[in-house]
This record gives sequence, C-alpha cells and structure tokens, in this order.
Amino acid sequence: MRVCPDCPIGAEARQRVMDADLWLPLLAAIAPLAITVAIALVLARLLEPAARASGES
Amino acid sequence: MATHAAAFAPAPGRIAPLLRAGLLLGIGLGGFVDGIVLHQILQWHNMLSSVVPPVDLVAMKVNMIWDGLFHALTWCTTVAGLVVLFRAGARRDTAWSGRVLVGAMLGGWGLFNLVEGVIDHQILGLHHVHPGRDQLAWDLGFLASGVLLMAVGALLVRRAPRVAA
Repeated sequence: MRVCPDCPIGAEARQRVMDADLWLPLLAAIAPLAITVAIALVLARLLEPAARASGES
Repeated sequence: MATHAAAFAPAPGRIAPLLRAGLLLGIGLGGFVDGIVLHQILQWHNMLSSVVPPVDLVAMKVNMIWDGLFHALTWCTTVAGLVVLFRAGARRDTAWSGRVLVGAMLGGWGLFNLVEGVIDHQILGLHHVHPGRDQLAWDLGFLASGVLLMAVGALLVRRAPRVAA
C-alpha cells in the first residue's frame, strides 16, 4: 500500500528505508562481507607457510 | 633480455601478497555473481526479500536500495583487491603465479558463499537462495558450492609451481 500515492515510487522507497530500523539490513549487507574479508586476510597469513612448504616439496 | 619462457617461469618469493589480492578479488567478484545472477537476472531473491517481500513496486524498490548497498560494498572489496594486487606486483619478493591468483579468487568466492549463506540465509533469515518448498535444499546447495569452490581454490594454490625462495 502506497503511503504517499502522489510521491515518486523511488522517493517513497527511500523514505521507507530511512524510517525503518536500519540495524538489521545494515548488518545483513555489511557483516558477511566484513567477516569474509577478515577471515580471508587471516587465511592469507596462515596459509603462506603451508603453501610455501608444499611448493618446495 | 628475458625469454618468453623465463618471463612466465615460477618466481621465488612470498605468495601472501598474491593470496591477499586474490581472496579480496574473489570475495568482491563472488558478491557480484550473487547480486547480478541471483538477484537481477534470475530474480530468485533480493537482499531483504524474506523480511520485505517484493510484492509491490515500493517494496521491490526498498529491496533494490539494499541490493545497491550490497553491490557498493562488493565494489569496494573488488577495488581493495585491485589495490592489493597492484602493490603485490610492485614487490620484488612476490611469487607471481596465475594458479595462486585464480586459486585464491576461487577461495574468496567460496568463502563469501559460505559466510553469506550462514549469516544471511541461516542466522538472520533475510533471504533464501530460491524461496519456496525446497528452499532449505537450495540454501544447503549454496553452502556446498562455497565449500567446493574453497577446496578447488586450495588445490590450485597448493599445486602452483614455485621455486623456493
């Protein structure tokens, strides 16, 4: 149901996003990427000795 | 003057710079695959489609805003990967290997599928890969694809020819 039938649809969607509790979607968008990047950087550091050893063998 | 073979010969040195770049690029590009293929082309789900079902145009637009935020972050991750790759190329001690780069990219893509699948699909329930009767099977398949991509990536990195530094 349109809250503001005369407003452009995009403007109403933006307003609805601004009016909503933002923490959950923000968490949804940011948390997986941030956690994945953090794990990846730790993995790169941890994996190098093992990969180097297998490359030498 | 270096020969063609010498130019592509495995180089001695550290693989961590290339691993970091490949993982970041894989995460970013893997996020784009999810967003472009599953959200936009196949229209299977959107970022919040289980919370704000896109049943009218405004709800669809709300989902598009959050899809846009997701894409903006994957874009930032991809750019970060390019910066790290450029810096890896500028280091003299980087072991330059296509297999390491591709393997790390597949690993990053798989890691993204795994973490995104666990957090967004299973823990938060914000959306499912293919909502409907078999959505759990699709979600588990998505997680399995992450594990498979990581395994193939790890295999490529391990089998990359390298000369000991």
